[in-house]
Amino acid sequence: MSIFIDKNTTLVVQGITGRDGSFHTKQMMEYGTKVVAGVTPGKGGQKFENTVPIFNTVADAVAATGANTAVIYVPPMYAADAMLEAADAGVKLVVAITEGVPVLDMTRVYPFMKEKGARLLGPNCPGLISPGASKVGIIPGRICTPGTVGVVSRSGTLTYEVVYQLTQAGLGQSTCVGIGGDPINGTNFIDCLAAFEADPNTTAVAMMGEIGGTDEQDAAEFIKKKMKKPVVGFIAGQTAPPGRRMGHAGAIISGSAGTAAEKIAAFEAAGMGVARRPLEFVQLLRDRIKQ
Amino acid sequence: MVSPAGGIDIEEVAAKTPEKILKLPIDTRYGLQPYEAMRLAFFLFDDVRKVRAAAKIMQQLYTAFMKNGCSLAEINPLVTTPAGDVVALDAKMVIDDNELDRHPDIAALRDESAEAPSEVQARNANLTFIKLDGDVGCVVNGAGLAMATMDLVKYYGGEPANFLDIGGSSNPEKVVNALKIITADPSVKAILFNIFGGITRTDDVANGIVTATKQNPLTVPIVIRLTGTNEEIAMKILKDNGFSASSDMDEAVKQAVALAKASPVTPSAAGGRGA
Repeated sequence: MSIFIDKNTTLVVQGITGRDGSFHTKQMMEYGTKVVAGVTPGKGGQKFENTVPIFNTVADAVAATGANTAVIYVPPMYAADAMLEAADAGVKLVVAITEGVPVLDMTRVYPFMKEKGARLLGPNCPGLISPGASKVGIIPGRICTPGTVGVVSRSGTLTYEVVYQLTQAGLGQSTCVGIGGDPINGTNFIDCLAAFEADPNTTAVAMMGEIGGTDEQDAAEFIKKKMKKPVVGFIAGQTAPPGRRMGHAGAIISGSAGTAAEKIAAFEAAGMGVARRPLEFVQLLRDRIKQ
Repeated sequence: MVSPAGGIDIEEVAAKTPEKILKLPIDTRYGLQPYEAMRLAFFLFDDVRKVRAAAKIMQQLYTAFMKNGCSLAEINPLVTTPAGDVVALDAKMVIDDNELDRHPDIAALRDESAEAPSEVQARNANLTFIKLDGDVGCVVNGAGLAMATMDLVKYYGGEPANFLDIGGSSNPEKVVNALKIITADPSVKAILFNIFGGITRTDDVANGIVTATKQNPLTVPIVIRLTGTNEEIAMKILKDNGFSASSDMDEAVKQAVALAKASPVTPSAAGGRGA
């Protein structure tokens, strides 16, 4: 078991013939993801790697293949349109990898997704992986192993770091989800925490947040009130100076809000385990899974 | 958002007297509707003539906000004249960096002389770089891992000299540029590479380090931590060129902090302190 994706996930890749899209499609296929269609306007009728049919539109792809999930590898200026197109075609999970999507574009996409009943993950995210079953996005498959720890993070490489350490320590994962570092994202920590709480195969959750916004504080409140499963948290950016955007568009401390100290205090108040450095996840999770 | 108690310290107003602020979410698919602008304006004025004038200004502000790809557009203060006119006295706009491709005219307004030269150089090389006060120069891939690396430097008793994210794509050129920027900073006493290869191929990073140090030999010690995609190839490239590297993040950070502390004060740095 897992959250959001599993063996029944059938994927359409938007931007399948692009540089990133083609590279990662191959990786996903090697991992065992059921890639059933690709979309590149003007290349409809061709095949990717002689196997995956390419369509001009997502609507055509879904009509022909019944794809239930879409992943987006198109340039930032066209990414919002790709998200709208996927949801309009009836896809229920839309994973947007693209970095650099204008925030104002996302203000139009976000309500549309809700109206269509589609879940958006990202943008500016590494996607997700349910080890041994399916991967959608760019998380390297070989650092993961099947198991019962749920992982949710705003970061890419920091997630890989922690997942790799969990795998080496024998702590497998149910699903690893990267929600992305942008100020407006389709899926937030609480969405993932609720799904992990409801997933019978997940026994504990590792959560990696960072400075900026109040998502982590809201998540801590949710954990305190609604979750029975143990959650261990980490906040990146404890040494970040205020007022500077630390790479991720959402990672900025404004005024006195969004600091690491404030978020760590919220974690502690919620009774969560707090990892002071990435390496501490392993022991904190082990202690809590045993209980 | 409007407030009759505007001016400075709006955060304080929000915390102490939230009833003096009216927030209205706008659905950007429809835009700011006239009735919404009127509602905001009635929060500020009683005289309907002033309300209409303020509502018009708000709709113009919204139009300017959307048209220019802003993340903030603010009029402060909005004043009334003795003749009863409503006038915007000052304004501030912040443009979303991700919109600049659509607005070359705005991008051209960037005043690079107002920024740290190293940050300008980094942006032109497609690197995200922020100068800090410490002496451990950090080169990392990914924003989250870069922040976590800075935090770990501090955890082990050191101070990071910078935030530097070389991004996801692997390109030896980026590493060369990153090293140029870091080594140009006289306060850097040790350099720390922390690379987790996912999309980034660690052999590309290793090649970048070798190329860069051949062009400009290092004068400060370097600690390299890399793991992930093509790690074995990367380790061999580094070893063949006289570098050592490890795959353990905590050990690498500890070592970099120790080297920075052990580093002798360079003559130029001593002179700079006016000792």
